[in-house]
Amino acid sequence: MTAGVAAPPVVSPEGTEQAAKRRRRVPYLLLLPGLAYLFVLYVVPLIALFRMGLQSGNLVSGYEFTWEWDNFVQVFTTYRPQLLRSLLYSVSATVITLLLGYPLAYAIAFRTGRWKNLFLVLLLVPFLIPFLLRTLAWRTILADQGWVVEAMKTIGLLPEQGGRLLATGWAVLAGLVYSFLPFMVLPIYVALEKIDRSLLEAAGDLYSTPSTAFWKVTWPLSLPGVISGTLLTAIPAAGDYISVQLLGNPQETMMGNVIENKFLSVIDYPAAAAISITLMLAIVIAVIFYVRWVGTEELVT
Amino acid sequence: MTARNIKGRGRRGQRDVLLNLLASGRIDRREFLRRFGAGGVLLLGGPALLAACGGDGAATTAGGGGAATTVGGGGGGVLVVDNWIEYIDLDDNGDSPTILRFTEQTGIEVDYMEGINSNEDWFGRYQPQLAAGDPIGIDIAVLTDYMAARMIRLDFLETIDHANVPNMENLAPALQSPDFDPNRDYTLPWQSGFTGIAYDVDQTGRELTSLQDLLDPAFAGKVGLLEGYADTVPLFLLMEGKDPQSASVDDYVAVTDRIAESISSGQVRQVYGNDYLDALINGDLAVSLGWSGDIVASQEDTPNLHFAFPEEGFMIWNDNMLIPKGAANKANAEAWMNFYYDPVNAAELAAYIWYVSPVVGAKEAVADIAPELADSELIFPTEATLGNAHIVRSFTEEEEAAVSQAVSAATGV
Repeated sequence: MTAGVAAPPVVSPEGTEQAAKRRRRVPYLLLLPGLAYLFVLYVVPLIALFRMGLQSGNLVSGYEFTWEWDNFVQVFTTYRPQLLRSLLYSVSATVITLLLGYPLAYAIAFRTGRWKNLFLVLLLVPFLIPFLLRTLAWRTILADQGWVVEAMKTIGLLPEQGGRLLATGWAVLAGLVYSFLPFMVLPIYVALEKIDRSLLEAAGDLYSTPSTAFWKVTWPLSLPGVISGTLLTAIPAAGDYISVQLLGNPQETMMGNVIENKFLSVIDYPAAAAISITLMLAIVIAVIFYVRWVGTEELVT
Repeated sequence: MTARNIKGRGRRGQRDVLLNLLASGRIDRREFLRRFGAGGVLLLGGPALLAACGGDGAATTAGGGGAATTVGGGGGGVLVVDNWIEYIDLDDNGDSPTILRFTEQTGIEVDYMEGINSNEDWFGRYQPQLAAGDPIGIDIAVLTDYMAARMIRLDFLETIDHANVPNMENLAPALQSPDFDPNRDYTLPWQSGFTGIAYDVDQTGRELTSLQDLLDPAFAGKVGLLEGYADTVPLFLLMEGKDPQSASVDDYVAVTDRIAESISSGQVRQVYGNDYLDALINGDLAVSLGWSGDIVASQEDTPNLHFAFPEEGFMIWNDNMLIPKGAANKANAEAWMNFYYDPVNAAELAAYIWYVSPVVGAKEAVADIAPELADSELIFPTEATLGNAHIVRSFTEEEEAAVSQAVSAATGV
């Protein structure tokens, strides 16, 4: 019996083993170009940046590797206000874009019918215009003598004397929300769009109210989109510096502004590198906790 | 599009190509924003601006790379000049009459690029090559004093052979020996300008004369300062009655406390790059530190913008021609310098771009072609005015970092 089973293979045992080995190797071979790309353009610069962060010196005398941990420490001492502000702005902007973006994505996915494509295009149109130009346009819209400020003064939302929107923290927040809204809406839309409508019908058949159906069916199924959207908003928002530069004031600066200034004006490459690495690590840690807290394996989608 | 319509050149502290493009194309931008307000024809403008932006970058790199190939016989090749945008005279065909004449007179072909958007960007782009001792394919670059000083400190420059530039004798006496280059061995001013007080007289309601006016509580939240240390810090020193040329590094660092106070009190609205001018035109600012050339150029459209030479003193800066180390056409570069130090050529340039010419005799020559310009104090300042002008002092690398760090901390970065 056992012999009968063993008999059929035409290929020698070594042959199958080799073929299996080859088959196992194929995915890795296919991954190779991507991995090489990532290694050369991502890992190597990251290591170089980290090494730079531990150096001291200047352009004239050159940089030396001196284990200058102070470069990293200063992020939490000298630049604590900017660090906290980056995180605060990033979280606030994310919450606001979620509150604005979810209903928008929901409406596009479920309510727009044949106009759906039009709405999606409208959502994407801003991407055709560079981020910088769009932020510059806000500068004109929110100008002290612009109609927005005038209107807000008229209805008493801003004090008549010295009231302004531009060069305030509110303008920075508004700029961030505006810039990242599409990044929030699109992933949520994609997640909502995929939901099998019969699940909602089934919920109705089982006597769930529309709101229960939303919280038991729609919301959990859209969570992967929410997580992607919040990450796509929170991470770049934490590193943004254009919004502050164009819409903010010197009391509202974020880490991005510090890094830019260290690299270009002060020419303190080690400090700039150390701050960049630290900010990146802080974001990575925050993201890990966030994803674990929301607790979803569906993020893989 | 002539330079007359394009007001204000991106001078310093401007780190973004796009921002700079916008800052340079003032008329276009306003039109562009008007269209945006009118109803989103912006789509048409977006790709064009993108293309313009990409084109600019490409031109720069192509110029830089192309130079190495076009340079043929040792020192006699095409002269590669890298300058700021809108910093040369242009005719209706987009050619520069002075460059054409230069080629005609000397037989030297010129590859003129407008690749400098900010001192910092330019430095960042070429520093690695220069530090490695590799030629960068540029024979003349134009950088502002403090950056020129850094290039000298780092030994990134060729010396200028004075025998090849006899017209150097026309250099204005006040500019002949800055402390970073006492004999002008490495640098020669291309154009100069003043940093003083720019204000909107409609908003201030009075003429301003003093740097103290920046701290007038009536203008709270409507005051602009300039990025970097080279403009703002010396003017605050002058406000304190100190001479920026002789003040110590400690003085420079200490005075940043005053800057920090003016920011934390809410007196200062924002620290600007070239965009301070926009903020003034929009009415977001009542008064700002500003550059004379910008104000001259914008007065045609916005006559309520004024420029004041503060009574405490003010700064004069130069953008300097310099020859990067390893330049293939050093002799041709010197010929170019000599050409533009001929008062007639200098006058033609000054009459077109409206900056302060460092060349003695240019005023008289301008009087022949554009008499109304020769009377402008902002283009041709009198001796009395110049007596109150100060040049920023030079620093060692550590000192510059300390001052730069201090002013950064004061301005929230």
